[in-house]
Amino acid sequence: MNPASSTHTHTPAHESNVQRAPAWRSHRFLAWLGRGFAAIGAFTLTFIRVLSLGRWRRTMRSEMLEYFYQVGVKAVPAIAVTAALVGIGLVMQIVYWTGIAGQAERIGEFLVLVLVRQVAPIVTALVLIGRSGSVLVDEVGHLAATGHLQVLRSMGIDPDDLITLPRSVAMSVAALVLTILFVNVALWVGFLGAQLSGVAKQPAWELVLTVFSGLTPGDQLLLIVKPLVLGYVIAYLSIRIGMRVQHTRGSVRHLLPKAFVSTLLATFVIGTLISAVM
Amino acid sequence: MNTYQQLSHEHAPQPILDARDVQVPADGWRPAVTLDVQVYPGELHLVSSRDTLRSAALADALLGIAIPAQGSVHFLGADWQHSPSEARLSLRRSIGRVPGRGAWMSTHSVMDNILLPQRHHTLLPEHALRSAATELARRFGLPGLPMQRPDACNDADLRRAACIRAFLGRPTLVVLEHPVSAVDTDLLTPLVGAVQQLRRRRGAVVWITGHDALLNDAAIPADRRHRLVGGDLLAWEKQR
Repeated sequence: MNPASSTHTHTPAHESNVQRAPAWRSHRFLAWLGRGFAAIGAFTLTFIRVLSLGRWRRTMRSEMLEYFYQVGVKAVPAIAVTAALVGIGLVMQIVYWTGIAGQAERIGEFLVLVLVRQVAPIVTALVLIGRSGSVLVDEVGHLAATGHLQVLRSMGIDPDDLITLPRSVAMSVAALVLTILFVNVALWVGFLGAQLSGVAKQPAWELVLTVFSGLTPGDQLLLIVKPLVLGYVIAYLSIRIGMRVQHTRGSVRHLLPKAFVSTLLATFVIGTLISAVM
Repeated sequence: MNTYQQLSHEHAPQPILDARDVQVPADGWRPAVTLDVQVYPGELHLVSSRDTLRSAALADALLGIAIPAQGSVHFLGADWQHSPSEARLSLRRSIGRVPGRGAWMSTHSVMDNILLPQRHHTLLPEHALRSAATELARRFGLPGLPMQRPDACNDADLRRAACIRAFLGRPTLVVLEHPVSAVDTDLLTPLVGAVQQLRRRRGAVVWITGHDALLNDAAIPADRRHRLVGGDLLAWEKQR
Protein backbone atom coordinates (compact mmCIF):
# COMPACT_ATOMS: atom_id res chain seq x y z
CA MET A 1 0.00 0.00 0.00
CA ASN A 2 1.44 3.38 -0.91
CA PRO A 3 1.52 6.19 1.68
CA ALA A 4 -1.14 8.22 -0.11
CA SER A 5 -3.71 5.42 -0.03
CA SER A 6 -2.98 4.65 3.61
CA THR A 7 -3.60 8.29 4.49
CA HIS A 8 -6.96 8.17 2.77
CA THR A 9 -7.83 4.92 4.57
CA HIS A 10 -7.21 6.35 8.02
CA THR A 11 -8.15 10.01 7.57
CA PRO A 12 -11.18 10.82 5.44
CA ALA A 13 -10.79 13.91 3.27
CA HIS A 14 -13.71 15.82 4.84
CA GLU A 15 -12.40 15.10 8.33
CA SER A 16 -8.94 16.47 7.52
CA ASN A 17 -10.54 19.57 6.00
CA VAL A 18 -12.58 20.15 9.13
CA GLN A 19 -9.45 19.86 11.27
CA ARG A 20 -7.34 22.10 9.05
CA ALA A 21 -9.80 24.91 8.47
CA PRO A 22 -9.31 26.78 11.79
CA ALA A 23 -5.50 26.65 11.51
CA TRP A 24 -5.66 27.90 7.93
CA ARG A 25 -7.94 30.74 8.92
CA SER A 26 -5.81 31.72 11.90
CA HIS A 27 -2.68 31.75 9.69
CA ARG A 28 -4.38 34.05 7.22
CA PHE A 29 -5.61 36.26 10.02
CA LEU A 30 -2.14 36.41 11.57
CA ALA A 31 -0.60 37.21 8.17
CA TRP A 32 -3.19 39.95 7.64
CA LEU A 33 -2.51 41.30 11.13
CA GLY A 34 1.23 41.20 10.48
CA ARG A 35 0.83 43.10 7.22
CA GLY A 36 -1.34 45.66 8.98
CA PHE A 37 1.23 46.24 11.73
CA ALA A 38 4.02 46.38 9.15
CA ALA A 39 2.10 49.00 7.16
CA ILE A 40 1.47 51.11 10.28
CA GLY A 41 5.13 50.74 11.25
CA ALA A 42 6.30 51.81 7.77
CA PHE A 43 3.93 54.78 7.82
CA THR A 44 5.17 55.87 11.26
CA LEU A 45 8.83 55.48 10.28
CA THR A 46 8.32 57.53 7.13
CA PHE A 47 6.54 60.21 9.12
CA ILE A 48 9.40 60.33 11.65
CA ARG A 49 11.82 60.71 8.73
CA VAL A 50 9.77 63.64 7.46
CA LEU A 51 10.32 65.38 10.79
CA SER A 52 14.10 64.72 10.75
CA LEU A 53 15.12 67.94 9.07
CA GLY A 54 18.74 66.75 8.70
CA ARG A 55 17.60 64.13 6.18
CA TRP A 56 16.27 66.71 3.75
CA ARG A 57 18.93 66.74 1.04
CA ARG A 58 18.80 69.16 -1.88
CA THR A 59 17.34 66.51 -4.21
CA MET A 60 14.48 65.98 -1.78
CA ARG A 61 13.87 69.70 -1.37
CA SER A 62 13.78 70.32 -5.12
CA GLU A 63 11.54 67.27 -5.62
CA MET A 64 9.15 68.65 -3.00
CA LEU A 65 9.01 72.10 -4.60
CA GLU A 66 8.55 70.66 -8.08
CA TYR A 67 5.77 68.38 -6.87
CA PHE A 68 4.10 71.18 -4.91
CA TYR A 69 3.94 73.14 -8.15
CA GLN A 70 2.36 70.13 -9.90
CA VAL A 71 -0.28 69.30 -7.28
CA GLY A 72 -0.72 72.65 -5.56
CA VAL A 73 -0.26 75.53 -7.97
CA LYS A 74 -1.66 73.73 -11.01
CA ALA A 75 -4.74 72.63 -9.04
CA VAL A 76 -5.75 76.22 -8.23
CA PRO A 77 -8.19 76.60 -11.19
CA ALA A 78 -9.89 73.26 -10.42
CA ILE A 79 -10.26 74.15 -6.74
CA ALA A 80 -11.44 77.70 -7.52
CA VAL A 81 -14.17 76.48 -9.89
CA THR A 82 -15.32 73.75 -7.45
CA ALA A 83 -15.33 76.23 -4.56
CA ALA A 84 -17.31 78.77 -6.60
CA LEU A 85 -19.94 76.12 -7.38
CA VAL A 86 -20.08 75.11 -3.70
CA GLY A 87 -20.37 78.80 -2.81
CA ILE A 88 -23.39 79.25 -5.07
CA GLY A 89 -24.96 75.93 -4.13
CA LEU A 90 -24.24 75.78 -0.40
CA VAL A 91 -23.41 79.23 0.99
CA MET A 92 -26.24 81.01 -0.85
CA GLN A 93 -28.66 78.30 0.26
CA ILE A 94 -27.62 78.66 3.90
CA VAL A 95 -27.98 82.44 3.69
CA TYR A 96 -31.40 82.07 2.11
CA TRP A 97 -32.78 79.46 4.52
CA THR A 98 -31.41 81.02 7.68
CA GLY A 99 -33.13 84.25 6.56
CA ILE A 100 -36.42 82.40 6.03
CA ALA A 101 -36.11 80.67 9.42
CA GLY A 102 -35.24 83.93 11.17
CA GLN A 103 -31.78 82.62 12.14
CA ALA A 104 -29.75 85.08 10.03
CA GLU A 105 -27.47 85.90 12.97
CA ARG A 106 -26.35 82.24 13.06
CA ILE A 107 -25.03 82.16 9.47
CA GLY A 108 -21.41 82.18 10.67
CA GLU A 109 -22.00 79.29 13.04
CA PHE A 110 -23.69 77.16 10.34
CA LEU A 111 -20.99 77.87 7.78
CA VAL A 112 -18.15 77.06 10.16
CA LEU A 113 -19.83 73.77 11.00
CA VAL A 114 -20.63 72.74 7.43
CA LEU A 115 -18.14 74.47 5.14
CA VAL A 116 -14.99 75.02 7.18
CA ARG A 117 -15.03 71.82 9.26
CA GLN A 118 -16.45 69.34 6.73
CA VAL A 119 -16.99 70.34 3.10
CA ALA A 120 -13.83 72.32 2.32
CA PRO A 121 -11.22 69.76 3.55
CA ILE A 122 -13.11 66.76 2.13
CA VAL A 123 -13.89 68.27 -1.29
CA THR A 124 -10.29 69.51 -1.60
CA ALA A 125 -9.09 66.00 -0.75
CA LEU A 126 -11.45 64.52 -3.36
CA VAL A 127 -10.11 66.91 -6.02
CA LEU A 128 -6.54 65.92 -5.08
CA ILE A 129 -7.40 62.21 -5.25
CA GLY A 130 -8.96 62.57 -8.67
CA ARG A 131 -6.46 65.00 -10.10
CA SER A 132 -3.15 63.86 -8.59
CA GLY A 133 -3.61 60.55 -6.74
CA SER A 134 -4.14 58.40 -9.81
CA VAL A 135 -1.31 60.17 -11.66
CA LEU A 136 0.96 59.46 -8.73
CA VAL A 137 0.05 55.75 -8.70
CA ASP A 138 0.70 55.58 -12.44
CA GLU A 139 4.01 57.42 -12.21
CA VAL A 140 5.41 55.44 -9.27
CA GLY A 141 3.99 52.20 -10.69
CA HIS A 142 5.83 52.87 -13.94
CA LEU A 143 9.07 53.52 -12.05
CA ALA A 144 8.60 50.25 -10.16
CA ALA A 145 7.63 48.22 -13.23
CA THR A 146 10.64 49.42 -15.26
CA GLY A 147 13.02 48.62 -12.40
CA HIS A 148 13.94 52.25 -11.76
CA LEU A 149 13.33 51.96 -8.03
CA GLN A 150 15.99 49.21 -7.92
CA VAL A 151 18.30 51.39 -9.99
CA LEU A 152 17.85 54.19 -7.45
CA ARG A 153 18.75 51.78 -4.63
CA SER A 154 21.85 50.66 -6.51
CA MET A 155 22.90 54.34 -6.69
CA GLY A 156 22.54 54.55 -2.91
CA ILE A 157 19.30 56.53 -3.09
CA ASP A 158 16.38 55.32 -1.00
CA PRO A 159 13.19 55.67 -3.11
CA ASP A 160 11.37 56.69 0.08
CA ASP A 161 13.78 59.61 0.47
CA LEU A 162 13.50 60.73 -3.12
CA ILE A 163 9.83 60.00 -3.82
CA THR A 164 7.69 59.17 -0.77
CA LEU A 165 8.84 61.86 1.66
CA PRO A 166 8.97 64.92 -0.63
CA ARG A 167 5.78 64.11 -2.47
CA SER A 168 3.79 63.29 0.68
CA VAL A 169 4.87 66.55 2.30
CA ALA A 170 4.17 68.51 -0.91
CA MET A 171 0.68 67.02 -1.17
CA SER A 172 0.10 67.74 2.51
CA VAL A 173 1.06 71.43 2.21
CA ALA A 174 -0.86 71.69 -1.08
CA ALA A 175 -3.99 70.31 0.61
CA LEU A 176 -3.70 72.92 3.37
CA VAL A 177 -3.21 75.85 0.98
CA LEU A 178 -5.96 74.67 -1.36
CA THR A 179 -8.42 74.14 1.52
CA ILE A 180 -7.88 77.70 2.74
CA LEU A 181 -8.33 78.91 -0.84
CA PHE A 182 -11.49 76.80 -1.12
CA VAL A 183 -13.03 78.31 2.03
CA ASN A 184 -12.29 81.88 0.86
CA VAL A 185 -13.55 81.42 -2.70
CA ALA A 186 -16.72 79.59 -1.55
CA LEU A 187 -17.55 82.27 1.02
CA TRP A 188 -16.87 85.24 -1.25
CA VAL A 189 -18.73 83.79 -4.26
CA GLY A 190 -21.66 82.66 -2.09
CA PHE A 191 -22.01 85.95 -0.20
CA LEU A 192 -21.50 88.09 -3.31
CA GLY A 193 -24.14 86.00 -5.10
CA ALA A 194 -26.49 86.39 -2.14
CA GLN A 195 -25.90 90.14 -2.02
CA LEU A 196 -26.34 90.66 -5.76
CA SER A 197 -29.49 88.53 -5.89
CA GLY A 198 -30.94 90.37 -2.90
CA VAL A 199 -31.03 87.27 -0.63
CA ALA A 200 -28.66 88.89 1.88
CA LYS A 201 -29.14 92.36 3.23
CA GLN A 202 -25.61 92.75 4.64
CA PRO A 203 -22.55 93.39 2.42
CA ALA A 204 -20.43 90.34 1.48
CA TRP A 205 -17.31 91.44 3.39
CA GLU A 206 -19.34 91.75 6.60
CA LEU A 207 -20.68 88.20 6.20
CA VAL A 208 -17.19 86.84 5.51
CA LEU A 209 -15.95 88.59 8.63
CA THR A 210 -18.82 87.02 10.61
CA VAL A 211 -17.70 83.53 9.57
CA PHE A 212 -14.01 84.05 10.33
CA SER A 213 -14.70 85.72 13.67
CA GLY A 214 -16.87 82.73 14.55
CA LEU A 215 -13.91 80.33 14.28
CA THR A 216 -12.91 78.93 17.68
CA PRO A 217 -9.27 77.91 18.33
CA GLY A 218 -10.41 74.29 17.84
CA ASP A 219 -11.91 75.13 14.43
CA GLN A 220 -8.72 76.92 13.41
CA LEU A 221 -6.61 73.96 14.48
CA LEU A 222 -8.91 71.58 12.59
CA LEU A 223 -8.67 73.74 9.47
CA ILE A 224 -4.90 73.24 9.55
CA VAL A 225 -4.57 69.66 10.80
CA LYS A 226 -7.27 67.99 8.72
CA PRO A 227 -5.97 69.01 5.26
CA LEU A 228 -2.36 68.37 6.30
CA VAL A 229 -3.14 64.81 7.41
CA LEU A 230 -5.48 64.05 4.49
CA GLY A 231 -2.98 65.31 1.90
CA TYR A 232 -0.16 63.32 3.45
CA VAL A 233 -2.19 60.11 3.61
CA ILE A 234 -3.48 60.44 0.01
CA ALA A 235 0.06 60.80 -1.36
CA TYR A 236 1.53 58.14 0.92
CA LEU A 237 -1.11 55.54 0.01
CA SER A 238 -0.87 56.32 -3.72
CA ILE A 239 2.91 55.94 -3.68
CA ARG A 240 2.85 52.74 -1.63
CA ILE A 241 0.26 51.17 -3.92
CA GLY A 242 2.29 52.25 -6.98
CA MET A 243 5.44 50.73 -5.52
CA ARG A 244 3.68 47.36 -5.18
CA VAL A 245 3.72 46.92 -8.95
CA GLN A 246 7.13 45.29 -8.77
CA HIS A 247 5.82 42.63 -6.38
CA THR A 248 2.49 41.86 -7.96
CA ARG A 249 3.92 42.10 -11.51
CA GLY A 250 0.50 43.31 -12.62
CA SER A 251 -0.01 46.34 -14.77
CA VAL A 252 -0.42 49.71 -13.12
CA ARG A 253 -3.91 50.00 -14.58
CA HIS A 254 -5.15 47.17 -12.34
CA LEU A 255 -4.03 49.04 -9.23
CA LEU A 256 -5.77 52.33 -10.07
CA PRO A 257 -9.26 51.34 -8.80
CA LYS A 258 -7.74 49.91 -5.63
CA ALA A 259 -5.75 53.08 -5.06
CA PHE A 260 -8.84 55.22 -5.67
CA VAL A 261 -11.01 53.27 -3.22
CA SER A 262 -8.25 53.09 -0.60
CA THR A 263 -7.55 56.82 -0.65
CA LEU A 264 -11.27 57.62 -0.69
CA LEU A 265 -11.97 55.39 2.32
CA ALA A 266 -8.95 56.75 4.16
CA THR A 267 -10.13 60.30 3.49
CA PHE A 268 -13.57 59.68 4.94
CA VAL A 269 -12.37 57.65 7.93
CA ILE A 270 -9.56 60.05 8.87
CA GLY A 271 -11.74 63.11 8.19
CA THR A 272 -14.47 61.77 10.48
CA LEU A 273 -11.99 60.82 13.21
CA ILE A 274 -10.32 64.24 13.21
CA SER A 275 -13.72 66.01 13.27
CA ALA A 276 -14.79 63.80 16.17
CA VAL A 277 -11.63 64.48 18.17
CA MET A 278 -11.40 68.25 17.54
CA MET B 1 53.20 31.91 9.67
CA ASN B 2 56.57 33.70 9.80
CA THR B 3 57.00 37.47 10.12
CA TYR B 4 57.51 37.99 6.39
CA GLN B 5 54.36 36.03 5.53
CA GLN B 6 52.41 37.88 8.19
CA LEU B 7 53.53 41.28 6.86
CA SER B 8 52.80 40.36 3.25
CA HIS B 9 49.38 39.05 4.31
CA GLU B 10 48.63 42.32 6.10
CA HIS B 11 49.67 44.36 3.07
CA ALA B 12 47.90 42.21 0.50
CA PRO B 13 45.29 44.28 -1.34
CA GLN B 14 41.79 43.76 -0.05
CA PRO B 15 39.23 42.99 -2.72
CA ILE B 16 36.76 45.74 -3.56
CA LEU B 17 34.15 43.09 -4.16
CA ASP B 18 34.30 39.63 -2.66
CA ALA B 19 31.54 37.15 -3.52
CA ARG B 20 32.09 33.64 -2.21
CA ASP B 21 29.89 30.65 -3.10
CA VAL B 22 26.94 32.94 -3.61
CA GLN B 23 23.56 31.56 -4.63
CA VAL B 24 20.85 34.11 -5.27
CA PRO B 25 17.42 32.51 -5.71
CA ALA B 26 14.93 33.63 -8.36
CA ASP B 27 12.62 36.41 -7.15
CA GLY B 28 9.82 37.83 -9.28
CA TRP B 29 11.28 38.81 -12.65
CA ARG B 30 14.84 38.21 -11.41
CA PRO B 31 16.30 34.79 -12.36
CA ALA B 32 18.61 32.84 -10.05
CA VAL B 33 22.38 33.34 -10.26
CA THR B 34 25.38 31.67 -8.66
CA LEU B 35 28.80 33.28 -8.49
CA ASP B 36 32.19 33.10 -6.84
CA VAL B 37 34.36 36.06 -7.77
CA GLN B 38 36.80 38.53 -6.22
CA VAL B 39 37.36 41.94 -7.79
CA TYR B 40 40.56 43.70 -6.70
CA PRO B 41 41.51 47.37 -7.05
CA GLY B 42 42.54 48.27 -10.58
CA GLU B 43 40.92 45.20 -12.14
CA LEU B 44 38.59 44.94 -15.11
CA HIS B 45 36.32 41.88 -15.22
CA LEU B 46 34.56 41.13 -18.48
CA VAL B 47 31.45 38.97 -18.32
CA SER B 48 29.84 37.46 -21.38
CA SER B 49 26.05 37.29 -21.14
CA ARG B 50 23.38 37.67 -23.79
CA ASP B 51 20.51 37.39 -21.30
CA THR B 52 19.81 40.92 -20.05
CA LEU B 53 17.66 39.67 -17.16
CA ARG B 54 20.44 37.41 -15.88
CA SER B 55 22.90 40.28 -16.36
CA ALA B 56 20.68 42.50 -14.22
CA ALA B 57 20.37 39.71 -11.63
CA LEU B 58 24.18 39.38 -11.52
CA ALA B 59 24.60 43.15 -11.10
CA ASP B 60 21.92 43.17 -8.37
CA ALA B 61 23.76 40.37 -6.55
CA LEU B 62 27.08 42.22 -6.76
CA LEU B 63 25.52 45.46 -5.50
CA GLY B 64 23.63 43.88 -2.61
CA ILE B 65 20.20 44.51 -4.12
CA ALA B 66 19.44 40.78 -4.43
CA ILE B 67 19.83 38.89 -1.17
CA PRO B 68 21.72 35.57 -1.46
CA ALA B 69 20.27 32.40 0.03
CA GLN B 70 23.79 31.04 0.44
CA GLY B 71 27.21 32.66 0.65
CA SER B 72 27.97 36.33 1.07
CA VAL B 73 28.98 39.36 -0.97
CA HIS B 74 31.35 41.86 0.65
CA PHE B 75 31.93 45.35 -0.73
CA LEU B 76 34.97 47.12 0.73
CA GLY B 77 34.92 44.57 3.56
CA ALA B 78 31.25 45.10 4.48
CA ASP B 79 28.79 42.25 4.07
CA TRP B 80 25.83 43.54 2.05
CA GLN B 81 23.42 41.13 3.69
CA HIS B 82 24.31 41.97 7.28
CA SER B 83 24.79 45.70 6.88
CA PRO B 84 21.92 47.96 7.96
CA SER B 85 19.87 49.52 5.22
CA GLU B 86 21.37 53.00 5.75
CA ALA B 87 24.91 51.59 5.63
CA ARG B 88 24.16 49.75 2.38
CA LEU B 89 22.87 52.94 0.79
CA SER B 90 25.89 54.83 2.03
CA LEU B 91 28.29 52.22 0.59
CA ARG B 92 26.60 52.38 -2.81
CA ARG B 93 27.46 56.08 -3.08
CA SER B 94 30.85 55.00 -4.40
CA ILE B 95 29.42 52.67 -7.04
CA GLY B 96 28.53 53.62 -10.59
CA ARG B 97 26.15 51.50 -12.62
CA VAL B 98 25.01 51.48 -16.21
CA PRO B 99 21.76 49.55 -15.83
CA GLY B 100 20.32 47.49 -18.63
CA ARG B 101 16.75 48.64 -17.94
CA GLY B 102 14.82 51.31 -16.08
CA ALA B 103 17.59 53.84 -16.05
CA TRP B 104 15.66 57.08 -16.31
CA MET B 105 13.06 59.11 -14.44
CA SER B 106 10.76 60.25 -17.22
CA THR B 107 9.63 63.34 -15.29
CA HIS B 108 13.17 64.78 -15.15
CA SER B 109 15.55 65.90 -17.90
CA VAL B 110 18.45 63.62 -18.84
CA MET B 111 20.82 66.15 -17.25
CA ASP B 112 18.91 65.99 -13.96
CA ASN B 113 19.01 62.20 -14.16
CA ILE B 114 22.78 62.29 -14.68
CA LEU B 115 23.39 64.66 -11.78
CA LEU B 116 20.86 63.04 -9.42
CA PRO B 117 23.24 60.71 -7.49
CA GLN B 118 25.86 63.45 -7.01
CA ARG B 119 23.28 66.03 -6.02
CA HIS B 120 21.84 63.56 -3.53
CA HIS B 121 25.08 62.37 -1.96
CA THR B 122 27.36 65.40 -2.08
CA LEU B 123 27.31 69.07 -1.21
CA LEU B 124 29.32 70.03 -4.27
CA PRO B 125 28.05 73.26 -5.82
CA GLU B 126 25.83 72.95 -8.84
CA HIS B 127 28.28 74.63 -11.23
CA ALA B 128 31.07 72.24 -10.21
CA LEU B 129 28.83 69.22 -10.81
CA ARG B 130 27.67 70.54 -14.18
CA SER B 131 31.17 71.35 -15.32
CA ALA B 132 32.48 67.87 -14.34
CA ALA B 133 29.52 66.22 -16.08
CA THR B 134 29.92 68.40 -19.19
CA GLU B 135 33.59 67.45 -19.44
CA LEU B 136 32.68 63.76 -19.22
CA ALA B 137 29.92 64.30 -21.79
CA ARG B 138 32.43 65.75 -24.26
CA ARG B 139 34.76 62.81 -23.68
CA PHE B 140 31.88 60.46 -24.46
CA GLY B 141 31.18 62.32 -27.71
CA LEU B 142 28.25 64.52 -26.69
CA PRO B 143 28.32 68.28 -27.32
CA GLY B 144 27.10 68.91 -23.76
CA LEU B 145 24.61 67.62 -21.20
CA PRO B 146 21.29 66.57 -22.80
CA MET B 147 18.60 68.91 -21.49
CA GLN B 148 15.58 67.11 -22.94
CA ARG B 149 13.43 64.43 -21.29
CA PRO B 150 14.62 60.80 -21.69
CA ASP B 151 11.75 59.89 -24.04
CA ALA B 152 12.85 62.69 -26.40
CA CYS B 153 16.47 61.52 -26.42
CA ASN B 154 17.79 58.91 -28.86
CA ASP B 155 19.14 55.56 -27.69
CA ALA B 156 22.79 56.36 -28.51
CA ASP B 157 22.73 59.57 -26.46
CA LEU B 158 21.01 57.79 -23.57
CA ARG B 159 23.75 55.13 -23.53
CA ARG B 160 26.36 57.88 -23.33
CA ALA B 161 24.38 59.65 -20.63
CA ALA B 162 24.23 56.42 -18.61
CA CYS B 163 28.04 56.11 -18.88
CA ILE B 164 28.51 59.74 -17.78
CA ARG B 165 26.31 59.14 -14.73
CA ALA B 166 28.21 55.95 -13.83
CA PHE B 167 31.69 57.50 -14.06
CA LEU B 168 30.80 60.87 -12.50
CA GLY B 169 32.10 61.46 -8.97
CA ARG B 170 35.16 59.18 -8.92
CA PRO B 171 33.46 55.87 -8.13
CA THR B 172 35.35 52.92 -6.58
CA LEU B 173 33.45 50.34 -8.58
CA VAL B 174 31.54 50.60 -11.84
CA VAL B 175 29.19 47.88 -13.07
CA LEU B 176 28.37 48.16 -16.77
CA GLU B 177 25.41 46.17 -18.06
CA HIS B 178 25.52 46.02 -21.84
CA PRO B 179 26.69 49.62 -22.22
CA VAL B 180 27.55 49.36 -25.93
CA SER B 181 25.09 48.27 -28.61
CA ALA B 182 26.19 46.34 -31.70
CA VAL B 183 25.49 49.30 -34.00
CA ASP B 184 27.06 51.99 -31.82
CA THR B 185 30.71 50.98 -31.56
CA ASP B 186 31.83 54.65 -31.48
CA LEU B 187 31.13 54.55 -27.76
CA LEU B 188 33.72 51.82 -27.23
CA THR B 189 36.84 54.02 -27.40
CA PRO B 190 35.75 56.68 -24.87
CA LEU B 191 34.33 53.95 -22.63
CA VAL B 192 37.60 52.02 -22.60
CA GLY B 193 39.37 55.34 -21.88
CA ALA B 194 37.10 55.99 -18.88
CA VAL B 195 37.60 52.41 -17.66
CA GLN B 196 41.40 52.74 -17.93
CA GLN B 197 41.35 56.05 -16.05
CA LEU B 198 39.31 54.47 -13.26
CA ARG B 199 41.72 51.52 -13.07
CA ARG B 200 44.67 53.89 -12.74
CA ARG B 201 42.90 55.39 -9.71
CA ARG B 202 42.68 51.84 -8.27
CA GLY B 203 38.98 51.56 -8.98
CA ALA B 204 37.48 48.40 -10.48
CA VAL B 205 35.07 47.67 -13.30
CA VAL B 206 32.72 44.75 -13.98
CA TRP B 207 31.67 44.95 -17.62
CA ILE B 208 28.82 42.67 -18.73
CA THR B 209 28.51 42.39 -22.49
CA GLY B 210 26.66 40.31 -25.03
CA HIS B 211 29.36 40.69 -27.69
CA ASP B 212 31.87 37.84 -27.54
CA ALA B 213 34.14 39.84 -29.86
CA LEU B 214 34.75 42.25 -26.98
CA LEU B 215 36.01 39.43 -24.78
CA ASN B 216 38.67 38.55 -27.34
CA ASP B 217 39.49 42.17 -28.18
CA ALA B 218 43.12 42.91 -27.29
CA ALA B 219 42.24 46.62 -27.01
CA ILE B 220 40.22 45.85 -23.89
CA PRO B 221 42.77 44.93 -21.25
CA ALA B 222 40.63 42.72 -19.00
CA ASP B 223 42.17 41.03 -15.97
CA ARG B 224 39.52 38.34 -15.75
CA ARG B 225 37.01 37.05 -18.25
CA HIS B 226 33.83 35.21 -17.28
CA ARG B 227 30.79 33.76 -18.92
CA LEU B 228 27.30 33.75 -17.44
CA VAL B 229 25.83 30.38 -18.42
CA GLY B 230 22.32 29.52 -17.21
CA GLY B 231 22.77 31.79 -14.21
CA ASP B 232 26.21 30.39 -13.25
CA LEU B 233 29.17 32.77 -13.45
CA LEU B 234 32.04 30.65 -14.82
CA ALA B 235 35.61 31.50 -15.69
CA TRP B 236 35.96 32.06 -19.44
CA GLU B 237 38.84 29.57 -19.77
CA LYS B 238 37.00 26.90 -17.77
CA GLN B 239 33.98 27.19 -20.02
CA ARG B 240 36.01 26.96 -23.22
